[in-house]
Amino acid sequence: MEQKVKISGTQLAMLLFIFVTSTLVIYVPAFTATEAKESAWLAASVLPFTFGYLTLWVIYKLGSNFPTQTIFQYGGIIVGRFLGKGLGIAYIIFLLVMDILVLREFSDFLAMTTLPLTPRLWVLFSIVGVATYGAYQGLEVIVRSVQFVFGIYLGGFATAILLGLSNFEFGRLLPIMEEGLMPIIRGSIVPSSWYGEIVILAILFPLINKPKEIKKNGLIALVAITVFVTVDVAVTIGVLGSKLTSSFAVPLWSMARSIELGEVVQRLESFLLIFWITGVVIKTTLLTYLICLGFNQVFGFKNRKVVLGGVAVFELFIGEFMLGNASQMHVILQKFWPPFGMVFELGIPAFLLAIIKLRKKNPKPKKSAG
Amino acid sequence: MLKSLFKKVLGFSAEKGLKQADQKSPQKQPLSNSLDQNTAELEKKFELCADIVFRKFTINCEPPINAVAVFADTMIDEKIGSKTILGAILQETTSLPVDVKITKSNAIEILKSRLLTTMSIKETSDLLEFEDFVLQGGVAIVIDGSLTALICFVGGLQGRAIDEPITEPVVRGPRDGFVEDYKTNISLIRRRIKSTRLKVELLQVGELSKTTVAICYIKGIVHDLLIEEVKTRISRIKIDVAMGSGPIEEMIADEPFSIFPLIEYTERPDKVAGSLAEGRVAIIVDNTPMTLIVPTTFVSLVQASEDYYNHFIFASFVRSIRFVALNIALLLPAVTVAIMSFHQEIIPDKLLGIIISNRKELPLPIWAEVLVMEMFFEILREAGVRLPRTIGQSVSIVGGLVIGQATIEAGFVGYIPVIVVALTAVASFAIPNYGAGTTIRILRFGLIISATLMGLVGVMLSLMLILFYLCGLRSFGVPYLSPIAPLIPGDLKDTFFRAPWWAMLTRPRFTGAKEPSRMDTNQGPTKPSKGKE
Amino acid sequence: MRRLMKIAILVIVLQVVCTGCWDHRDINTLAIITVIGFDKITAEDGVDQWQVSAYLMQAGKAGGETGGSAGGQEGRPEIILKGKGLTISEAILDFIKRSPRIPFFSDAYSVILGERVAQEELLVVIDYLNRLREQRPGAFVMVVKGAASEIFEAEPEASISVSRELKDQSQNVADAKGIAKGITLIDFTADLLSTDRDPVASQIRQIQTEEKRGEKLAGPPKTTLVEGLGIFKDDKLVGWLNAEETIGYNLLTSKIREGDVLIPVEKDGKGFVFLIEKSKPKIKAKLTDDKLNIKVEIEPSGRITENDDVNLAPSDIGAVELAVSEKIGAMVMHTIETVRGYESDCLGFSEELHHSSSKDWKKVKEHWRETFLDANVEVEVRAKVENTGRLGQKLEMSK
Repeated sequence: MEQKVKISGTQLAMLLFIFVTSTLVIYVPAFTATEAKESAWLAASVLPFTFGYLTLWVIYKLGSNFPTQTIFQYGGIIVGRFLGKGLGIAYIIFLLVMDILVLREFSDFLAMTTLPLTPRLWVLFSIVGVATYGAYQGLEVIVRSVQFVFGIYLGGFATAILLGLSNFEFGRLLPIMEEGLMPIIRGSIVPSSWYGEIVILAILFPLINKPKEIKKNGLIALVAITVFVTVDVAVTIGVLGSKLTSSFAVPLWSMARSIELGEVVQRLESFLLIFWITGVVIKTTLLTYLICLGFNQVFGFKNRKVVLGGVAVFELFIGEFMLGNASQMHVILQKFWPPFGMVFELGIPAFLLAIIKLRKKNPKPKKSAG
Repeated sequence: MLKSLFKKVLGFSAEKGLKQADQKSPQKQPLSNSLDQNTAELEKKFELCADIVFRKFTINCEPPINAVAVFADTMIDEKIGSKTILGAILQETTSLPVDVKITKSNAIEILKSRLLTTMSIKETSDLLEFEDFVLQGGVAIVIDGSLTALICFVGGLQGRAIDEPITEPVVRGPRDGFVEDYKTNISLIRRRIKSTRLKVELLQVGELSKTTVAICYIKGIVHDLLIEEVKTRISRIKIDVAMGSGPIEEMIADEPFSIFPLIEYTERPDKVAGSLAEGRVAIIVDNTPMTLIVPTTFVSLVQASEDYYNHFIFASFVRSIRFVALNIALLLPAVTVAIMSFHQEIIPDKLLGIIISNRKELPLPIWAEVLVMEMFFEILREAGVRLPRTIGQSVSIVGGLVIGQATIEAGFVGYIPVIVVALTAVASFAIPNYGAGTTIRILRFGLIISATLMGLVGVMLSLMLILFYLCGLRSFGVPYLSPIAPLIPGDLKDTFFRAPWWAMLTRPRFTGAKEPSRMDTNQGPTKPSKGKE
Repeated sequence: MRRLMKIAILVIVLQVVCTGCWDHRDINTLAIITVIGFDKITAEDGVDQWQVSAYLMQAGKAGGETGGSAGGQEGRPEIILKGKGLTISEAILDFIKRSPRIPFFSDAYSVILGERVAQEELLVVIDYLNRLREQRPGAFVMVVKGAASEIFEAEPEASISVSRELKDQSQNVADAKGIAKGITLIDFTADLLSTDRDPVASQIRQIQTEEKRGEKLAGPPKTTLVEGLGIFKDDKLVGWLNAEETIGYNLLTSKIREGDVLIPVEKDGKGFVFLIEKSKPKIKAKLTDDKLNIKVEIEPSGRITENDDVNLAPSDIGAVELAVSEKIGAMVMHTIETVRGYESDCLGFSEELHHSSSKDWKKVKEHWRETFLDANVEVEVRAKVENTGRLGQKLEMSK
């Protein structure tokens, strides 16, 4: 396809930042506050960062062995052609699941907040339409849109969070670590699996113009994500209190609507929504593109239009008919997604890396990898 | 895909059957050495061309030689023609030195070197070329017994005088604008860049019109690939009549269906000169004052030439205002519709009270009101543009004030749509690029519809769609959204604000990378140093 | 095939677009609720019912025109609607079903809870309000002695509508004067749910105006006043604080920045008035031998606004400050005692213990309320007189 496209370091950092935070920022306060109470901001930062860093490190090591190939391609080289195909299919499924979950988060959120009567299919249809168009335009376009949107996205959320400080009470963040470490560890499982989404680097790796900087830029992105999410969670809890934070389905939204400065600056949640949409659109677009790339590299499907159309229809179908209501989605996100995601984010890459390391130690004469 | 579909539908008859007349490269047709034969041949060619005159005369010599002058009397200045050509040939032969004798064989030579006083003279022995020259405004002289004809260019009738550009007036800055004649236009550029590096290449477009297209660029700054690309794209055009720069713009643009202007046009020579210095290419088309500049970017939509004459702080301020205006023009009606019909909670309660008391008995929903008023305004604008200026004003008064007021008083629409449409209209006038204004208008309607469907969500999704579209656009290979996406921090100096001139050290990367440096560093104003006495 | 697909997509899009605008609500189809009051009443047949009263923003009057307070519903900027039902939603439906309009809660700035609701069904109401899609988290929660519906008989006095008057009183008047506290829904809910603190809500009541112009009343006969606080224990209203106790409460719990709080002080049989402009409480909670020790430090500063023959010379200011401190200390102690009388820790003392030392908190967690009741409370007030107004020393009569 367009393998010639190269992403620069800053572009990569911005892309990863928006990709990871766009789902985190809205949902993570509720998930972490349920377990870790007042210390949710710790749950959302330390361990998930470590997990994200591990993922980054493994992906980087793997990528350095195969600098011109994606995980779809080198998977086959490492574990053999047949298993490699299976691995590729598994990763395509992983991306599809992630994409559908993001879409459903989006449509559920809208149904809950602004568009309760609009059919979900239509909401899904409109965002899938936009995402498919973006994916059709190609990676270069996505990356450029990220650059264009980045300021708006970050500025919007930063403004909302800063204004939220007007209702902030430090006391609501106390006491720190009341119940010890365990609740924090339990609370950080969900955010960890979301931080680990930077595993998409394994596919983007060959498309980056300076592979040496990937680790640096990935780390910058990770640190930025951590700071952003920590502040997000801390402010949300400081405004709403941990109990209320875990009671609301989308606490950040409630936090934003409690902002009232004078007569005019109030009810900012709809603006928060539009900033969030930019992030979600970027995320689904990138996922759609990666899925399409996966189909190309695993099965050799060359016709992008057909693949994109198929993926779009499939997502619509699953998103509309196969998943349950909003509460069930909540359970899926909290219980099912973390183990599933972590296997693909850290498990499989670490396994592949281990195989390579072992082979390097006892090199077999014929099966030299890379 | 869409392009082919479009062509298929509209060009249906042309492709099947009515193939365009064979455009065989015309054969050379030499002149004969008999004047009568030539005249007959020419008269046949220019049959029923009332503006072509055959003036027969005889050169005073031994033996007298018959000749004929062929010209289009509508295209030449007759006073100069009669004085410098016929006057010279008929009267000045007597004052030739005694040893010079005019004969049939050397008549052309002597005419050219001793008699004719016009500056520009050409020779031709080909009837087709002859025909072209006559149609371009030359006076052709065919002499009995010679195989070549002389063509003298005496200058055509005066075109429009150089005038202030109507579409791009400035307060501070030069007042000259391009005219229809391409030579004058080139001269206007040449006056600003007096360097041999300013190259002008001429091409011809149009089988019938034979429109001259001049490609101007500065050698060394511009990418060679860019010039090649411009030349190929222009020479690819096979058309009957190329009217002005519009058709050429559409035929050489990168995208067949882009609603954003991918090629900039201007009638300001200073703007062209500035663009050339940035490494861009100007395409001057004969018979139109609108010169094309390629490549162009989104940012150029809000750049006005005045920005470069005003102090950079004022210019930056005005430019940021223009960005705000651009956003208002694009988004205000859509956001109003979205907020009024989906997100009423944003409206502060005091304002909400005013709004509901105003909208109590209105028959139409707000989106319909906004759409109708927008439509009404577009019609009004179109009516105002096409009418003579004096009537245009009364149209806008009647339309804007009377009808607007009456619709509100009668209770057809509320105040809000009128306020919104008026604000939008004013904001859209603040966008310097006329073409961009049209784009914004089209997008505005789309956004209103998406706002009606899904509120701010719809607006944002549409904006993302537009963003994806914009990010994919290129103008002669340059990404349309550069320098914002892809981000080139150094080039942001001339986007949302304008950096001071002494800080504009480099040319834009995409067009001027070949010779990036514009000026020496450290030229900013400094206070006289105190240390030196 | 491809053409078929195109047509199919077109059909879907058209269908969706043509039936579209699901959530489109024109502004004039909204029933904009500005004040909402909840009551629990017992109907004649002995069944408990909800009664919901609401002010609806009235088109035509809410905007510019203020005049014409006479003439029933027509001339007012708001209309009053009341409905009854077995659930809150039914009660709202009861009055909203008369018009085709959709109830719109986004501008409900004030939520009034009747006494019975506050005592019996608080969680139901708070759950309902937080569950609503549009309810404003910044809405002020108020409780009323008696039924909330009585408030809805009042008329605006200073503002154009009751809702605005309530909002202004809660937001600007009450806090500054210290006589009440604007408690927003979100704060109320957070305090209600927290494990170590009880909530309060401002008290609203209806008052009769007395000012007359000739025979007629100068203003409306009945109007509203936000003054005092309602005290909750868990989710039950247990008692009230009057204006003076509320000042004590405010001094104890919140930072006052641009205050206008009047403290009349007596010194040597002569009086003066101290006006608090700034104040900052500092609470320290400590657990020693299972006994809670609370130390409160308050540092109010302000000026003298009224003086009845008290010496205010620079050398006397120290004594004046002492008098002020004593008076404020007494007020605060009185508030604490009153609150303890209701067995409710709405002062945040236990919360302070929880925040400062979770180890100690675990010891008292099971019986924190008792611990609070036995606590040693020490109040230290250090008042500071910033200036004495335009006059320095008192006015001397030297005839």
